[in-house]
Amino acid sequence: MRTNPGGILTPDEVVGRDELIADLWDRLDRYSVQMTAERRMGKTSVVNKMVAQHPDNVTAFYWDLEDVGSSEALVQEIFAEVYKVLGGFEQWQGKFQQFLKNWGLGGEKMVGVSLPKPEMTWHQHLKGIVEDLYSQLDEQDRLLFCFDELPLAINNIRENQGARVAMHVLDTLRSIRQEYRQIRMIYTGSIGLHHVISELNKQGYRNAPTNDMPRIDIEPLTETDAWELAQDLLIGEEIAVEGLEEVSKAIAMAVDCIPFYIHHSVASLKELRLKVVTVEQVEKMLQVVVEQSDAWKMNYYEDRVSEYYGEHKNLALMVLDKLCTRESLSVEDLRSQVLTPSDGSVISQDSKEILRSTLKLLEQDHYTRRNSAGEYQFRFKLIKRYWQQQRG
Amino acid sequence: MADAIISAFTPSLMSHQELEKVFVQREWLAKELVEKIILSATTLAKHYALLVGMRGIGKTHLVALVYHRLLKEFTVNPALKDKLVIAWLREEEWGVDSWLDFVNRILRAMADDDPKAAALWAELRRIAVEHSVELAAVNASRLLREAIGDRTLLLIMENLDDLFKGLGLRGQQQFRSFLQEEKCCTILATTPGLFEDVESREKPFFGSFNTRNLDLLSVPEAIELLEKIATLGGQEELAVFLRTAEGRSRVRAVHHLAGGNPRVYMLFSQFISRDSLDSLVQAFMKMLDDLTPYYQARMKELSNQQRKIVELLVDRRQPLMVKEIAGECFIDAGTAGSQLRVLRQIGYVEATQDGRDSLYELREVLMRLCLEVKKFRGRWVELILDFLKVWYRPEQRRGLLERFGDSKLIGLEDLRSLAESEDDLVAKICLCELKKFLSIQNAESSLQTLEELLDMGVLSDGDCEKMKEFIQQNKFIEALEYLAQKRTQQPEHQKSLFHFNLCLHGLGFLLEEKFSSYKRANEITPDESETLHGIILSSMGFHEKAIASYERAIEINPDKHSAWNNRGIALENLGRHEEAIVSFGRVIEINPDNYSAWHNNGYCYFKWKKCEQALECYNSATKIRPNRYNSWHCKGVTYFVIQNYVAAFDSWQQTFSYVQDPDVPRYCEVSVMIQEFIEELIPRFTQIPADFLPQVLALYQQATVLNELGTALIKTLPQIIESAFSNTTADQWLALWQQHLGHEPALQMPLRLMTTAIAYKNTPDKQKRLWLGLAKEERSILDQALGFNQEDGKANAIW
Repeated sequence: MRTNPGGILTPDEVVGRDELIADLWDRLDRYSVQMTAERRMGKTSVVNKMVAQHPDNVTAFYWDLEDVGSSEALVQEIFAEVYKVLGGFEQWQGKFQQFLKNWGLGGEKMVGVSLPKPEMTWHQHLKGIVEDLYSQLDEQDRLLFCFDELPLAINNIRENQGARVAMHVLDTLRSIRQEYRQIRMIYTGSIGLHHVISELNKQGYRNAPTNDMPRIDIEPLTETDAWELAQDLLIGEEIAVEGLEEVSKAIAMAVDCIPFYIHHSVASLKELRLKVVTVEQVEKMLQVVVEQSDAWKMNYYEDRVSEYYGEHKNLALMVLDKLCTRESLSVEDLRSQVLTPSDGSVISQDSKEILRSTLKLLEQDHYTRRNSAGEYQFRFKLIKRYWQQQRG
Repeated sequence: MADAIISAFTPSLMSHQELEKVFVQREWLAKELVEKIILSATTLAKHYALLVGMRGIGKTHLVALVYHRLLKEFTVNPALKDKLVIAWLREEEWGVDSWLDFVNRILRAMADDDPKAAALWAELRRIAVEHSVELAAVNASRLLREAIGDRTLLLIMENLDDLFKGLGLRGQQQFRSFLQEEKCCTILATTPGLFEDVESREKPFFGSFNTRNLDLLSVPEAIELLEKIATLGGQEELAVFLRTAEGRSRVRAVHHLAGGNPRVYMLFSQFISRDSLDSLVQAFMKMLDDLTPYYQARMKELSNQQRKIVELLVDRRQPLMVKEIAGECFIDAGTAGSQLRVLRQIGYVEATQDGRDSLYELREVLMRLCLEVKKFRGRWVELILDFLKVWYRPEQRRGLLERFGDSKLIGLEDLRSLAESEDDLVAKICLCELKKFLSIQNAESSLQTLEELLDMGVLSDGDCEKMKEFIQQNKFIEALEYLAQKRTQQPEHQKSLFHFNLCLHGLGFLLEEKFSSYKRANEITPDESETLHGIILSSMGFHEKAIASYERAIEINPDKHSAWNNRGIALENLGRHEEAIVSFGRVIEINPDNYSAWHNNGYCYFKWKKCEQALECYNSATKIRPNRYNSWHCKGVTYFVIQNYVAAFDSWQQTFSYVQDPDVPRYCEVSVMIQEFIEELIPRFTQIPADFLPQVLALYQQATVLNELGTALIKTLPQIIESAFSNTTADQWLALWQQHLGHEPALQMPLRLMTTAIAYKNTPDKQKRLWLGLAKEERSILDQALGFNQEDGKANAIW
């Protein structure tokens, strides 16, 4: 296998995700899901593989919505993709012929695909498209709508058209899921939808638009899968190594078994054009990439705290500063280390609550996780390594 | 191929054949790019490559080469043509300001060879004209998708930073969305530096590219490029010269100033011939002249404030603090800081951190030199080039060859090879390079440098073979250890004979071959055989064994004076002066007119601190060969040591009259002779008569060897800054030269370096700040002289 950091992988190159995908199909048989993970964890690759290798009874649609700036544009994208999948490129497919005709896509050559019924609102269009699509389905059929970067689109809509329209979009999508039982959705995004919803909450939003969609975290690969991936890439790139297993393991472990960084590491090792790569060379390379040049931009995690944690940013930073020097810390340890007032007075209940909610948010944002003993620790060694270097 | 086009600015104009012929360093990358593009066309995988490197580094060359290799692949593999369509966007795609516009450019680029794309391009424009731009925008992605059809589109985009700037966030989001949804594009893009749109985790294209940094050329690679261009242009004589130590030293001097930017060498190649490369200054100045409009155009890209800052940095040469820059440019520190950040981002300046201060200077020395030439009419460039020519000049130690006696095996060609042995500084630099290449496991460059060291005679053939073996077996650490071991094994007393050893080592390889061939042909007598065997052993550092060999030759033929002579050399190598003198004495007994034996004997006596005897020997040597100016110079140094200043001066007058005589061959490098004097002057300078040094300096001036003096002063700096030398004496040493040479333009730079080195001796903790008081090209000379940054971690950095 060749390295391809940032590019599009073939479904076969998306390794170590078969179990996850089987689990997702199993869940999708029953309900829709939100897929969350840090950027570059491989969400899109998983979705791509699902879309490429879907079960026969599923018609899958994939949208990358990062360019969507309005509710109309969202519906436009949905419509264009539906058109492309069902009937684009001058070929008509059996069961959706009526749908295409209904929406003015049959017969003569089109000038262009735009929302075909100007008299209708975006909302009516969306409902109409879905309703009409749905009516063509047989009982065993499923439609899968994969909305990649949905939080970005909702955020853009909020900024461009106001919070009310953003709320309306979220509610409409939820109502589609409620109304049409053969439709499933996957939401994914590089920024957490919870941050977007919390912004909407500040402007009076009281609904829970994803309470029917359990959150599935995309975890890094298992150690075995990660080693195998590193090994395949080293072989594919014809990089000579001293101890293939040791070097593969060193790469996989150093980058937390995250496939994107495994690809990157092997690509970087190739660029060094070493005759033989050793475990020490891997460590040296990472030192330069993470600590000296911050080539993978780990400073983002530091900057993001300032951006998203508002008045509690110092508290969040203190928690992470403490955690980066230790393997793990219990809530009590953290409380005593970050909240103890300098005058020796008692910690207020309010402070405890703020710490609790900050810890929850840090966990949601993938900074931390709890180990089997319930203690907090950095979720990723890579970020911890950066943190130690910069703030430890 | 004498009419080949070598374009330094528009390599896309060059033919495939020409591009291939002058391609160096990046074969692995070209191969990777082609393979991954073909993979993108033939599988569902899509690769996005981003080549990063400063202007002139060869991005377009590489892109053009990949393009042509793909076209060639189409002819070999016609099925690929049905799977891959190429859109090479123009290098400067000015004015792209939206996704629609971008799609328009892509369709236009595709339309050249693709009627379907041409029709869809027309359709896009028709929609915009007959309906609306908005409707065209809505249809842009669809039309592009249709134009691509079942194929994969290779998008070649140069200056991606500019293109993304024009696209803006919205356009980038649309582009990324298209890539993600359609999965039908592969990308080969270039940029002079990484930029926020691909670096920031908040931007759509964060982490989307496999970035490949293009390295600057090392000296061997620059030589390889120049050689290839010379061969392509039919300049065989130049190509041969570039392979000599003298030719390489000239490229080293250019590399010192111009760095490893391939464009510089492409341009430089247009101005060099065998002779102009030798004289260097004229060719370099012509290159600067050709580069000037390019740098002026780059200046015009800047705002007035930015331009003012750049001009200040040109004027001042050395790195400056933000506060100084702000003050001198009459702007507030905040504005200066933000302008400097922009200039840094776009690759004009770079910063060095010293404590809490950031000091800024121009990133490219060449840019500064170009802009400076306009202001100061190139005086500084000429001065530093003249200095560098001497600094990197290989040693001409033909005089030492006399030591080999009259062996029939050492002919003129051998002498020439020996004459090209380089001095210990260049050898030191090469050794550092070798260590660097070994530590980054660059086998190709390691082997090249190894060859260079072998040529110079720094490593024996045996050592070289051993190291080659390690490298070929990928045992780089072992090779490094072997090298370190070899270096530390060299005894202290041998260092004084370092140059001599170089010559011997250099000849070793040559002789071994000849030796075998003569032996095979039975053209060699047993005593000759033993003598040559001894020379070979000596060349490999086995002096004891060599002595035994010479003695066997002497046993066979007691009058074998070359055996006696070489025995003396081997003994001197071991520090056994007395025995060496006996050996040379025997040569003189056999042949009283043997110049080498007299000169060598003088050298031994001098080293043994027996100056009177040394003088007698040198006198005899100069009587036998009056034009051997190195013997005259040695005589002068000996007189100087015994405080006979008049006689010393007279000897040196003789020396330099021969040096200036064009009919007298360059037996010995002048800077080395002067260095021998300076080394003796250092411990005695406070005791010499006041008028002596001015007389000597007048002699140097008259002989136009001030650059050689400057080089010698810099090379002897380690002696000055060593702890045994007091700070006060060091200050006096500096004051002496400032007093006598402060007005000499050729000595300005050496004096500045001396001042810095002596200030460092006084305050070693301020080394970084002191160094930052010098221009970049000066700092590296001082580093080389004092052995800084060459043996340390910086040279071993892997990134």
